[in-house]
Parts: sequence; structure tokens; C-alpha cells
Amino acid sequence: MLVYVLKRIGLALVIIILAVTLLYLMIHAVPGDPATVMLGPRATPELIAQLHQRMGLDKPLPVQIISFFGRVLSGDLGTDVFQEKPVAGIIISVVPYTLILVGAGIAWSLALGIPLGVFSALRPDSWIDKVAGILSVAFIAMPAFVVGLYALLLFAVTLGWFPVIGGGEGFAGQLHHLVLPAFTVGLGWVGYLARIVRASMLEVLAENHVRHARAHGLPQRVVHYQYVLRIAILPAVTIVGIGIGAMLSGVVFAEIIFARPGLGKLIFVAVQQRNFPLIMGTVLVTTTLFVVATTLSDIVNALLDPRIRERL
Amino acid sequence: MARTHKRLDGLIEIWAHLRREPLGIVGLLIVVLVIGSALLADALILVDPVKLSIRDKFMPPSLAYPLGTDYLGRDIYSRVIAGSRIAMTAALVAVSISAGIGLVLGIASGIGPRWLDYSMLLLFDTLRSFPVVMFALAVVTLIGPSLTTIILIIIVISIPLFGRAVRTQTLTLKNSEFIQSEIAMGASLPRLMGVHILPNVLGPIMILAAMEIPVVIAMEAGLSFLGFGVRPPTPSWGNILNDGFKYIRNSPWPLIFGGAPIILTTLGFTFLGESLRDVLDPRLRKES
Repeated sequence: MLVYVLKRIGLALVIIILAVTLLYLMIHAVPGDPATVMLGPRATPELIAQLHQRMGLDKPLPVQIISFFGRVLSGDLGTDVFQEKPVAGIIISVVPYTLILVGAGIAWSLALGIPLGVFSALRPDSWIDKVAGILSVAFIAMPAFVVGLYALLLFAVTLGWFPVIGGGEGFAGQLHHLVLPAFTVGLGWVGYLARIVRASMLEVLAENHVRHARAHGLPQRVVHYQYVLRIAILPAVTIVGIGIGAMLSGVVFAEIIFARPGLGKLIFVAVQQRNFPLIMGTVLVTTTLFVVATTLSDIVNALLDPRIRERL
Repeated sequence: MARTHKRLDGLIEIWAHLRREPLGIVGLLIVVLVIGSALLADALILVDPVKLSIRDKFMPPSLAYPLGTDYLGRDIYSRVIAGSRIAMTAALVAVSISAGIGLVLGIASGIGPRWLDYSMLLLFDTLRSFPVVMFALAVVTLIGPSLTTIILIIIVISIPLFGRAVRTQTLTLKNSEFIQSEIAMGASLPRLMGVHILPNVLGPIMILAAMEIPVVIAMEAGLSFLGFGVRPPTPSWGNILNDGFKYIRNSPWPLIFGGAPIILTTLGFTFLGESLRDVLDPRLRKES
């Protein structure tokens, strides 16, 4: 097990290093280097040279990459040349908003998706199961940003039940502001979780130990919830890690539609300003979070299911 | 001749199964509708989708404007129809190219030497490690927003999906008896890849490609909505939504009718894809 964990962490590190290098190379392989793009068409050669020096772009590429990694490891993600503030500080100040949104999205999709899956699995091929199945597919297929826009139009603008913009003040205010964005990022995962729980529940229900428990005369409730669900829920728990990673992408839309502060909003604004240090920093942080989340879920998965350890 | 017959029989068989799946039929109808409107866009539009008539701005649906007008008085119906062409173009081009590249890389990875396999897997994992939207935004900053940029981004992030699926299929095939006997009889690598492996991985890949189309449509619309995709005034579904979002307090119609085709199309392709998958290959389950 330890070997698997070490190997998996090693792989994750290699992937992060490769991904960041790729990103760095991409930025510098493009015609018209970042400094020129940032300063716009009216920049003088002196200004460009000055910015080059400040961003360390006058050194050879391998040196740039290595020194970039060195700085990243010491917690320095560079300086935002527009606001004259360290990128790391800007990112850290908005990370909580994004994490809260992702957490709320996961929480409500677990709270609805798992019961939906259990309910369907206990009544296979009933009309309720069929409706739940269609809904699950629909939730998965519908693009989150359209769902968010419709929710904004209906519940915030037309009905006025929820605020249109911002992150909210105080606990109640923040919670009130969180409802629609969390609904937006979580809806697809309700579908995913319902499907996964239903499938694994059906699988476990067909197993011998369940039949045995029934033969012993244990009440249905006990069999279903203490014997079946406890096992059937594992795939759903491990996929939450992947869900967290995937939601880091989904939050971009939710944060823009509902004008919430966060990583998505940050990169959106940075892209409009062509603010390269900030873009690099945000992509670096989200990619790392993404890889960490998937790695953790793989390791949890391996802890629960020893067969997976063989595969790496 | 015999070959066409065989194909026809296959299609008839698929249809016979599909008929029993009501959702599949609904999906098929929507898909036909969207592809039809993309092909016949020029005949179906009422007025030039970029023509302004400021006097008629923010009109609700009426006889003259079936789906209302936007903030510049443009006919939303005509913009939605013209947008279907852009959505389908992006989806078909991006999916076929990434499926093609994924096919080649996946077969090479499955049948090639170990080091090649490992480096391919590492490449796939690295490409998959970027959160999609963040990666797309970074690329857009670099090469500028356009339909080509979007297609390029989608290709890059979809390659791992196809590559991994093809690799798994190839590995299974490699150990099957008929491939082993081909190898024993001294078949060359190109012959193995082209004649024996390719036809056998094509089916599952087609289903995967069909399931990927709605994802691509959503991505194109999403990036255009953010203002990083198809440039205005060209009508893309995402652009219609972006205009609707900016003027959400003036009129709900651009938002409603800009979003509806995206939801309908993604649902249509997904329902059709799910039914086809159940019909053609009950074992294949999409990797999550």
C-alpha cells in the first residue's frame, strides 16, 4: 500500500511539473511575447526591455523555467504588474470563496444524489426509477452555465428570491448568496452520484452476503441501510475527489454569472487584462488543486479496494 | 454489393432496437432537427442575423419576430438558426480531429513498446490535469479568441479521452486469439494496425464521439458566452446568451431562447448516444 501511495504521489508530482512546464512553454512559444502583448501596440522598445527584465524574460528559457519553479516552491508566484501586488496574496484572498462554493456544491449534490440513487435501486424498473434515470442523464448533460443563467433569470431577477450579485455580508447573507451558485455547480453531480449509487447498490444487492442477511430474517431496513448502502456508497465517496477537481472548472461560470469573488472570477478578469503573471498563478494553483484532489481520491479508492493497487 | 447489403442490414438492426427506446427516438428527432437547421440555415432564416433595427429592440416574441429581438433589434430566431451552423461545425470538426488523433495515439500506445505506452499515458494524464475552463482561458489569452482557437482547445483536451479508450480496446484485442495467430503468421505491424485493430476499435469510438458532441457544443457556447469564443456580431448560441446576460433586466427573451437550443441539443445528443450505446455495446461504459 505504501508503495502504491508513494508511486501515485510521484506520478502526481511529475504531472504537475509537466503541466506547468507546458504552460510556461506555450506562453513563450507564441509570437509576440507576453511583455509586448501586455503593454499593447504603443509600447516603446525601452519599456518592453524594462518589463522583460522585471519578468525575467531576458534570460534563456531553461533558466527561466527552473527559476520559475524555484520561486513557486518558495511561495512566490510573481508580481501582478497591474496592481503591483504579489500574485500569491491576491490568489489566497479569493481561494476561500471558491472552496466554499465547491464544498456547498458537493454537499447538496451528495445530500440529494445518494438518496435518489438508493431510492431508484430499491425499486428497479419502477416508473420512479425511470423518471430518476432520465433526470440524472438530463442533469449530467445540461451545461451548468445555461442552468445558472436560467436560475439567475427566474429566481433572482424575475422572482427576486435571491440576490443577483456579490458574495454577501455576514453568515446569513453569505448563505443567501451561496444558494444559486451552489445549485448551478452541483446539479450535474446530483445526476452522476444518483447513477453511481444506483449501479453499485444493485450490484451489492445481488451479492451472497445480502441474501444471507435476508435469510437470517433481518428486517429490510437493516439489510438495506446497514449492509448494502455501507458498501454501495464507497464508489460515490471516492468520486467526490474527481468532482471537486471538475467543479474547479465549473465555478468559473457560476462566479461570473452571479458576480461572486473567487478563482474563476479572478482568471476571467486577468484574461481580459492580459495579466500574464496572474493567469499563470491562477492556472498553477487550480491545476495543483485538481491534481491533488484526483490523487487523493485514487489513494482513498486503493485503500478501499486492494485490486486497484496492482494497476499502477 | 454484398458489402452495402451488410451495412444496410446493420442499420436496420440498430433501428429495430432504437425503436423500442422512446428517449432515443426523441434524441434522434432533436439531432435531425439541429443538423437540418445547420444545413438549411440560409433557407430557414427570416432576416439577416446581424441586421440591426434599433427601433425594434427588446421585442417579445411576435409574428414578425418569432423569438423576439435583442438589444440591437436583431431577430433572435434567425440568430439561433445561424448559430446552429456554428455549433455543429465546431462540434463535428473538433470531435473528428481529436478522435482521429486519439485513434492513432491509442493504437500506437496499445501495440507499441512499453516506453511508448508509458509516455503516451503520461501525455494523456498531463493534458487531463488542467481544469478545462482555466486551460481554455489561458490559451485564449495567448492566441486570441476565435472559432479556430476554440476548436483547437477542444481537440487538445479531448485527445486523452479517445486515446485512453482506444488504448484499452487495443490492449484487449492484442491478447485475443485472432490477433495472436496473425502475429504468429508473421503479419506486419501496419497490417495488424490497419486491417485488424482499426475496424474493431472504430465502433466503440464512434459511440464515444457521439457522446462527446454535446460536451463540445456546451464548451463552444460557454467560451463564446464568456466573450472568448466566436467574435460578435457573428451569431453563436453563446453570443446570444452573452447579449441576453448583459441586458437581463431589459428583456428575458434573448436569454431564454439563447439557452434553449443549447439545452435541447445537448439533451438530444446525449439521449441518442445513451440509447445507441445500449444497443450497440452494452459492455461499454463511459470513463468518468
